[in-house]
Amino acid sequence: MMLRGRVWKFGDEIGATDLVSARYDKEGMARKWDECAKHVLEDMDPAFAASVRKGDILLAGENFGNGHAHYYMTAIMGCSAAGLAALLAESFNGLFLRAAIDAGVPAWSFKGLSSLVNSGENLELDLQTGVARNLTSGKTKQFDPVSDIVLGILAAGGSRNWALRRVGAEHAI
Amino acid sequence: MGQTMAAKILAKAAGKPRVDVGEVVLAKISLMTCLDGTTFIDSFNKHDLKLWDPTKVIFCFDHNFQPEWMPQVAWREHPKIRKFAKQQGIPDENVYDIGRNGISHQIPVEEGWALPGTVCIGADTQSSTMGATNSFALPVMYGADPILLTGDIWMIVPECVRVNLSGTLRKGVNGKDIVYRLIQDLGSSVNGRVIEFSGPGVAALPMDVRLAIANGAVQIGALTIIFPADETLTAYLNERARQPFETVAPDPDADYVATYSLDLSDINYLIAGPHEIDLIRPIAELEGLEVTAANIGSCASGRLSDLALAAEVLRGRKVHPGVRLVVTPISAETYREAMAAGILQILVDAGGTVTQPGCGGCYSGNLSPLKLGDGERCISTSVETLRGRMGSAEAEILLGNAAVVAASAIEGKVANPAKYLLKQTELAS
Repeated sequence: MMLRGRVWKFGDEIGATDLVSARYDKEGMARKWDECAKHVLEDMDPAFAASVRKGDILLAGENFGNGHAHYYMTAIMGCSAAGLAALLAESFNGLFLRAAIDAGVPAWSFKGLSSLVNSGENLELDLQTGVARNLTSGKTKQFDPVSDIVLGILAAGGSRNWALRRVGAEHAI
Repeated sequence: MGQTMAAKILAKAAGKPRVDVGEVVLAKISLMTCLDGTTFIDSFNKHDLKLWDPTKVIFCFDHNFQPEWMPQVAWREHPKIRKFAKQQGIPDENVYDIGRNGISHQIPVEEGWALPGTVCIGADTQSSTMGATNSFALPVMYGADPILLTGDIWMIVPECVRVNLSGTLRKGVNGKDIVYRLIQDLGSSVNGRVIEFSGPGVAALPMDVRLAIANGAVQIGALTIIFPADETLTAYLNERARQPFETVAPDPDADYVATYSLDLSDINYLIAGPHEIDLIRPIAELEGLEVTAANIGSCASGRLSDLALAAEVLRGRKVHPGVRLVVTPISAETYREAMAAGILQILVDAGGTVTQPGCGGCYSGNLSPLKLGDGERCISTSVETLRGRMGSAEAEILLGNAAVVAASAIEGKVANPAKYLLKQTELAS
């Protein structure tokens, strides 16, 4: 799986309720993801949601996705509906990372990726080989490839479809 | 390098001799415990899908969601769950319906489902609670469908931090205070790793306190929490375990990324909030702040020892007339035990209200009479301090242990319970 998009860099400790504030819990619980998308990172950068283009990549620092798991899906689906094609970070909260992959939203930690790209630059990242290329500067960096199990889940569009295939229930996809 | 408890449990569940940190494995699960707000039933019904093993799935009625805008409002969801269970062949006893109900990660412990050495998955955010039984317990909320279809879970073998406990807790201090201390000390460094407890301090902790500590994984920032097995655990499971089990212990040279030591006798009353769970302060910094609502219950508290602690403070005393105190036992079993022990009588005599067991006022969408209005300040034993969590976004939520909430309910302001507990001890002796 190849990611290619413009990068938005944020710092360490970006939590689920930083991505979409708990003020929009009601919209999230009602699964109005487009409504959640309008408020992505609102408290950190009020202009962010309106500036994101489809296919952009969010790159956070350490411990991305901390906080109460109740707010994870609102945050993840809000980001996805806003147009973000991938949620990357130096390191993740394990539960948040799992929730994103389960939802079929490409997410993985790449230690050192922040030093390869800046906000506004274009990144190409091959999840299968682990090769990252800054398309703006031309610099490349090799990371560990993403696990085949995770790539299988992402290729299926999330763990639900992946599991349906495994039990021979493709009709439900 | 030796293996942690987490690695050993995951290796066994994945059918491998060993697993290493960072490896992605498929681990077989022993239990899927669901709350009364599901996300998978419609899709299972629509596509005629089957659970991998209906005997390993349980439902626990706990939130009783009320708002009509919620897809899982209780009057729709409860009948839906009952019908789904019948269709799938889930045994009746696996549906912890009203009368046998309780919080979805407390019931599996009380009822002997969550056993040492196994992988237990819960649909509620706080499902790490089950890690008090030497199991690997994990919440999965929206990722439940695949697990229910296949009976396994994809896992990145996690890094682990060891927390070495020594000493014993002071009177009145309990699991809530330990969780807040761990948020203070480890909150910025644990970064989604697993916390594994060890050390001589573990032995002195009763199961209630271990459950309250394991409950706090998400708030501490840990993936989950695992307690070692000891006599306290095996004695607790003796009459409860549904099948034989094998406990796991870490290897002496287990691969921990860090070891942190905590002397339990150093822990004092701590208060979290308002608004931010990691805003943690000694009670002395908040004493005297007016409170108008007090909540005892939730999965972080609401166990028998919490209710007993509150009763110790409230015995023969009255809740301040400007405060409403709502008490929610964590489960029907706890409710019955608290009633038999006279604890509920004391709480009601003091002017508290005791509700049906479950999650209670922790989340405003639950069935509970405790809803916060604009400008209110609530002191609660529950799990979250976020704006709007218990009602108005213009209210403040402070969190503390059951003794702190009880003492604050008496005085109508944040109060240190030491003086009430001290007098009780003197009276008793």
